[in-house]
Amino acid sequence: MVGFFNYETAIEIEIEIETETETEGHTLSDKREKRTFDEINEKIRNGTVVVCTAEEILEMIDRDGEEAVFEAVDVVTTATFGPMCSSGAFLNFGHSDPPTRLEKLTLNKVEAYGGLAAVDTYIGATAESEDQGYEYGGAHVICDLIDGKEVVLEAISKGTDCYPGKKVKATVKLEDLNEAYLFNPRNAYQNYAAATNGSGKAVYTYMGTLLPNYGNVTYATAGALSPLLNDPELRTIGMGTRILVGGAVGYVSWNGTQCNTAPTRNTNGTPIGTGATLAVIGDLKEMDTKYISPAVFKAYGTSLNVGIGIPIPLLDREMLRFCAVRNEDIETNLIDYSVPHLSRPTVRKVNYAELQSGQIEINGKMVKTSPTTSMRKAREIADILKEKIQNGSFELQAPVKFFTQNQGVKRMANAEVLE
Amino acid sequence: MKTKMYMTFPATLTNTPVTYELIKRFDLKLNILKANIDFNLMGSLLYDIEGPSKSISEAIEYLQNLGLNVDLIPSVITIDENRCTDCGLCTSVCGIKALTIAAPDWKLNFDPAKCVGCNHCIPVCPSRAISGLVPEPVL
Repeated sequence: MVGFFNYETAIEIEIEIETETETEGHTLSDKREKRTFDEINEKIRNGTVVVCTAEEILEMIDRDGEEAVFEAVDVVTTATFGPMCSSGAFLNFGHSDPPTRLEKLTLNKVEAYGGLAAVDTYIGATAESEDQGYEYGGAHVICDLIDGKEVVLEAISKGTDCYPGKKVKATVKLEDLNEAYLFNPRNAYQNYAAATNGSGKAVYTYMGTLLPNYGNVTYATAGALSPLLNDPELRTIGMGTRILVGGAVGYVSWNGTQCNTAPTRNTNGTPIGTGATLAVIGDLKEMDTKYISPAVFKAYGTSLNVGIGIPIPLLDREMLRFCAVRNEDIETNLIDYSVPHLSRPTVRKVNYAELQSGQIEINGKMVKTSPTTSMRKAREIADILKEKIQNGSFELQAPVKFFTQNQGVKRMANAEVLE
Repeated sequence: MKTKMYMTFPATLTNTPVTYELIKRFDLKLNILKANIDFNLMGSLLYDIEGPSKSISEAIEYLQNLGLNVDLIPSVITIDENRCTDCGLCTSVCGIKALTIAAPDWKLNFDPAKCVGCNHCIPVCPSRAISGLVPEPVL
């Protein structure tokens, strides 16, 4: 199945179901809706909804069989918690008196963007502080704000009739800001290449420190619990999907940047290597640093651990089959990060059961594997989301727009690396 | 008993072969995990130390009388559980497997007895949750 569910194909399918005989085989009945978003929300409101996590559903299928689980379960919760560099926050400080446009500004000595209206800014997670380098970056500023700590704003401006102030300093807390929301352009990678190092010296990466001569392997994603691996064709996740981000209720705001919806796929639909991504939004004022925290990578830089939980409605049998995906059926490429080029050699293909076992074989040698995604936190988030849906405080939002499918990722055009 | 012992000695004692004395006089099994002499000729030694509690106590008394600072330390690193996210990245550089993480609970497990104090995990931890009790040599 490479096709993508959208309104047009949905209409087609409905017509097919009406006009073709019932003996047409399972493809049609698989696609026939078992339950709709509205029906699930009705069940959430009257307290009869049945929810389980993407890990629990595997045990349930083993115990009760696919058919019984499909009849019983309405929603599967998925989650992940890991470093997601393409993250940041929009902040509005309100005006000083006299007003000052924040043309060049820092927050706790971390540069934020001054190219918006006077007192709006965007602070990126990977921006590094002037005095502490990557040990304190945008991610730390964001998390300090969430923790209610004081943050020092320093800004300069050329001074205009509208905004006469030329230099301003303020000490602000999250509660002092008008708006403060996380807006992450690329989160929740569907799948990610595992990392190793075939060279003779250590390599320092966002996948951790990779030891020489295939000395270790690190890998990301929560495997079978990971959001987009349970909805590989993004049939239920799109713009407007209500999610948990950083412990708060947030939304999918767009497809993520470098969203690859034309990856090499397995027979179960999951991409082998990187795939789709999401842009997400959420209110900093409702977040909790238990589910969003700064991350620092030696000789690489600052990043932000983001906890994301996404509910997947079992609209039809195919969605159940997608959610029934197991670690042994999800594969990724093991990449040699020591090669300093965009295209790095694939050492081997590997599945998540192997990666999570703690060791895999490379060239006849057993090599230790370590995660970069916290399974413990991911499970916690999936459980919280499950509870919220069960207790009626989290209804599902059907996407208001689905993301373009069969779209690959382009390289930088006409680029010449000068140094 | 088996534990770790960390001692620092002033420049005047840096030339004293205390390891020899600990083995010869107190019959202790020593494994030197870390040894350093800094610019001021102040020395430090980290041992895995094994022997009867009585011998270890006597050895400590002997070293203190010499003028060394001696500490028995159960662990060379501490992990701040509030900061640790159980991501598991530290386990990737722990060759001795003192730090491990695995199914089913995926919680970081630390075995201080196995730890040799290499401190490689400290800069690798993205949450800066690990601190070393034994300072790294300053070069």
